Amino acid sequence: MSARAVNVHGFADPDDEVLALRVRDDFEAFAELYRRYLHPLYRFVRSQVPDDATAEDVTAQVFFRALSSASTFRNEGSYQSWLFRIAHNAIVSWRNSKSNGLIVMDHVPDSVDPEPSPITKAITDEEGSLVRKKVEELPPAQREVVALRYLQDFSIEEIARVTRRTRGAVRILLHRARSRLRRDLEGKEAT
Amino acid sequence: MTGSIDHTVAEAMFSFSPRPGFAAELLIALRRAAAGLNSAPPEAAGRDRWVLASSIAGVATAASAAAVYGFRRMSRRGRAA
Repeated sequence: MSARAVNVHGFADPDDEVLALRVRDDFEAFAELYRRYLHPLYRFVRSQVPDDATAEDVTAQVFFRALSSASTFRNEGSYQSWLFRIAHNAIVSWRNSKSNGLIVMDHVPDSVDPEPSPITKAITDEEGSLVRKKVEELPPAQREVVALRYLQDFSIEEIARVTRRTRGAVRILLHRARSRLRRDLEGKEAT
Repeated sequence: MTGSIDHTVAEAMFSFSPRPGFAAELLIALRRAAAGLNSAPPEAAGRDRWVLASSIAGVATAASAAAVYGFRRMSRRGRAA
């Protein structure tokens, strides 16, 4: 029997899918799903768009759609996959409405050790910015599978389901992205 | 080698975080949108009330709420500029 998470009262937290089927009649069930997925979803969206404001807009769109189309969740797959598919569609819609130009990354504060030395922080900030810049330079399809793999630890099959690609296509995209990042980042470390 | 790259990329991407207040603002907007769905016509009463209300008004309500949310955020950015 697999371990179940428990809340502070000692009761098992409902699975996402149990909550999702209650959303139709109970907003608090949706609110709990929102709390569970806001940050992971925001990180994914932010990794695909050029700035915080756009990430907020797209993230908001995703949750409004998740709320308004709650009845379409059929429990055929995980709620997580269903939600991230909505996010994928929202990002595609956003891309289609915008021209693809150079993307300038906003500075994003790193989550680092609470009290790093100034030198450590400077190095960490610089490395993090460089890595994010290299990820941002990936083609959109590669960037998306990288984000789903690294941020959400999605399996190849889950990524394929979310992005509506074949598993083979996802493997190829991931391989190409990793190769490019390894080349770009290890080449920088060697200089 | 691959593991090192995976860890490096994951660590960098995990640093993305929404601004303070975003979570609460959006939840309020979502709650209002849901309340709008609950004011469905009498024939939508019962267990399927939300489903029917969603199908009739959900898209419009969600879209209008999203527009209001976006407008309020833009207003705040304008005042802060």
